[in-house]
Amino acid sequence: MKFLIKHLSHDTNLQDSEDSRSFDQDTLRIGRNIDNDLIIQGINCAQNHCVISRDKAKKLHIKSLSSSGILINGSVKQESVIKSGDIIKVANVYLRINQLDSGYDLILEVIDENQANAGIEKLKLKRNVFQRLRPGSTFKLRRLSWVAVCLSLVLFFLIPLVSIYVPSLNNFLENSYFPLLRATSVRSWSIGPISRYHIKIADKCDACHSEEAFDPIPDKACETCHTDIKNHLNRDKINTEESRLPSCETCHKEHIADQYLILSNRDEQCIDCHADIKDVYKNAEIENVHHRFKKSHPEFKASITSNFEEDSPVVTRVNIDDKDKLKEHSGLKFSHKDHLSKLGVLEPQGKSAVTTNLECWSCHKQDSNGAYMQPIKFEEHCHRCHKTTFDELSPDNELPHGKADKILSYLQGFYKNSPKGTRIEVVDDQEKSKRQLPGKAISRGALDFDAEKLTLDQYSKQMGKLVFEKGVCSECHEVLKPNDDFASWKIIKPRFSKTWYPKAKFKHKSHQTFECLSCHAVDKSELSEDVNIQGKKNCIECHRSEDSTCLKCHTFHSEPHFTMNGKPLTPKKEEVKAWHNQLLVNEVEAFTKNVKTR
Amino acid sequence: MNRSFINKDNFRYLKAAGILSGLSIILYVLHQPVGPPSGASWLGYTLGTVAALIMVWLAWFGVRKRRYQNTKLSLNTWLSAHVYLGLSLLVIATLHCGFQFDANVHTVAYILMVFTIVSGIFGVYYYLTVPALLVKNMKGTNPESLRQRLRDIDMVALSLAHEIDSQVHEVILYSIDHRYESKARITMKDVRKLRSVGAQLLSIREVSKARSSEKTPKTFKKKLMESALSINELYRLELSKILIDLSFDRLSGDKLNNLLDFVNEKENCLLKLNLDSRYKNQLKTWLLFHVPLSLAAIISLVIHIVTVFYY
Repeated sequence: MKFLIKHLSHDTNLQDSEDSRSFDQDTLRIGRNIDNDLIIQGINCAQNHCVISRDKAKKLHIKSLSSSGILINGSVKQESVIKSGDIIKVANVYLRINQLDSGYDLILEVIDENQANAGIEKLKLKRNVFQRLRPGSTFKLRRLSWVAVCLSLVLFFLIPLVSIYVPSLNNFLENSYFPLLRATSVRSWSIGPISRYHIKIADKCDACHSEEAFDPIPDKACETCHTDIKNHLNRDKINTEESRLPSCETCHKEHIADQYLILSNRDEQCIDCHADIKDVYKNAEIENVHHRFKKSHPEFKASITSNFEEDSPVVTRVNIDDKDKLKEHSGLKFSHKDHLSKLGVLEPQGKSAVTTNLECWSCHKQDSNGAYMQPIKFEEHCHRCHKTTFDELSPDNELPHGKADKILSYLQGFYKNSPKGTRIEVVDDQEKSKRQLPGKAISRGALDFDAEKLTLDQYSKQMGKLVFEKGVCSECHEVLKPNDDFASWKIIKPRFSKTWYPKAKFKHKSHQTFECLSCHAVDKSELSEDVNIQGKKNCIECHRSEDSTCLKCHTFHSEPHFTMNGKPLTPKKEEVKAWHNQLLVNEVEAFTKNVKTR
Repeated sequence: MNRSFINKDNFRYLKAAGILSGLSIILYVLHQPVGPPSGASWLGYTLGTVAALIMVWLAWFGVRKRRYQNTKLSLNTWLSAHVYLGLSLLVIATLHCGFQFDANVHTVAYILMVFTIVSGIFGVYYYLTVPALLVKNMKGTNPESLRQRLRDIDMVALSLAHEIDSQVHEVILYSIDHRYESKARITMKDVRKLRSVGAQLLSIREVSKARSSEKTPKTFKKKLMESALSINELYRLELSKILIDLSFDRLSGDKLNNLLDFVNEKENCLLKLNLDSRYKNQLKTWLLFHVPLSLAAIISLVIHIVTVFYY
């Protein structure tokens, strides 16, 4: 191996002076002792300081011979591989490694420390040694701050932005186990989880956020799917300013949790308009409500149906305290008081002394929802006692229960075979007493069957008139007699309000711990036109707390004629419901589980 | 900087921050928002706006402290308000979010803010405790003169070691670190290195003591009796030993003692410098967290605000 030791003397004013010595041997020894190849004077150098050798791969190695180590490129090492350009410091001398000259394996340039500092630029020592030694260079506050700024911009702005357009990336980020990765998905920008009802469009932000940025969600976004939501107002009658109507978002809060999609426990949204309803709609007939039920709800108004005769009922709202007007003409003659008498009512088939006590539930049964009562039907509820017999002489024959014209044809048929003018024996008083039940059978004795000109038709009509006026029909029903012509007579079909408080939600089932009479005081009601319902006072006894919110009894979407966007309501479409049903059970479960685990 | 930023103007800013936090808590308790408490209610918006304004103002401190011209409020006043309002942010921002946390950018902004405040609390603690420790450690001297003293000791010790023998010289040479002058930080590694040098010197001294007290003929005989080695061989061994002994200066023991004193003094200097740099680092290191975290928090705050209002 050929070495060249080159002594460089750098003085800016003078020419470089060189003093070179070459060696051809395996190793090059450096130290203070005189037997070294390169002798460096100076107390900072060990007697045998270090040795440079070459391995089989022709790499140069330097090895320290003393425990103090060697300073290579500013760091202390015991042993190291060296290459061209490395700077070794021994005592006051810099040794620069140079392998560029092909004539030698190694040229060791020896530079005195003072001269090295003087000619620092020329030697390019600065980059190698001094830069590393500059104090305080580890503190890079500014650089660190820039890194923090850029990192947060990339992580929480750029990556989510990119993943909007790269669904696979977003999918990966959203389902990641690490919260930090999930925080870089698009959903990271969302203010909260989407409710399970909207899970199918959870990843389609612009299904709802379709308007300009920074705008609230428009109602039409909801109406895209929810086409048949009932309006709050009848648009034909009530014209309010469009701006005063609440938007869907006012009451339906998304991105919070499932239970906030319908805000049922709040009155603020209702009171906002109803505190001064005239301000919203100047012809409003309803009263202002400033607070919850107990404090400021006005007295109830019952919906009373009238004009049944004309077959076009008229509904009027009557204050529950207005006892004079609070009558409902139903066309039926009925006394609750008599039916609920403590003495009981007579059994139909029994002896005169046998009675039975009726209860409310004997006739009134809840419907399948538990909300209202099933309608009363003649065949089911009345007929057992109230037979429609009409002729004393044939007590087993009954008139058909129905319209008046049916009765006439039935009578004609019945009397066709009956010999005209046959006087039938009057039933004696003793037999009469067996039939104390209501509904009178008419005695044929009352009619003049001997009249010469009386035809069968006339006879039937006269019998019919008797049945109508004095017999079974008029016993329970009101009869309409516009003129003397029997053919024009009518039985008024009884009609009842399904509910007197149609604007409130009520369930009998929820209230069945109470006696019926506590709300419906029918035990004193003799007339069917009595409206047997209590007012607000009765409800307040229980519903006095703050929980009694508006929506406990009322519904916002209650107007049956118009949809929310003002179009006439078509027969209910089940599209949205079907859409919900499409959600597979495990799909929903997976979603809720996913939400929970986060 | 001294304690004055703590009780500036009779704790004016502590009171202000306390009132602000207290008011937020009272409103939060009284408020009944739609849905769970969150940033979406009117109180949520209010608290959020206040918190955001405070955050931006706190970050402005970095700009303010680089302005040296006189402004209305002194830097010390600013610092006092910076510290207390920063602490009140913990309350206001937490109430703003209504304790809702999730893996999203909003929570990230919150966490970054909390980390910034926590690093700030460390900063306050160091600024209150470290200056007194620095003065106590230095006791009238300063790092520059200590480093100068290290250099002086090195030169003297090296020439002293040179007079003793090459082994000692090598040990002392090993103990010299050329980087003491330029090194920003003296670590415990440096101190340990010096201690090992001291230990080596001690062992050398003990060996030499033992040698000088040993009576050669007696041991020679004894070894001769016990050993199976040839006499020639033993002679050669012993002779080399005697030669080493002769080459050893009689005063070498004293010089070694001197050297050990130097090493001790050097170790003391290094320990002081180490403590000094450690204290100074404490004053700087928290800022390495505080400033980048605060900037990241501001960035994520902006993203938080934009995304919330964008949708």
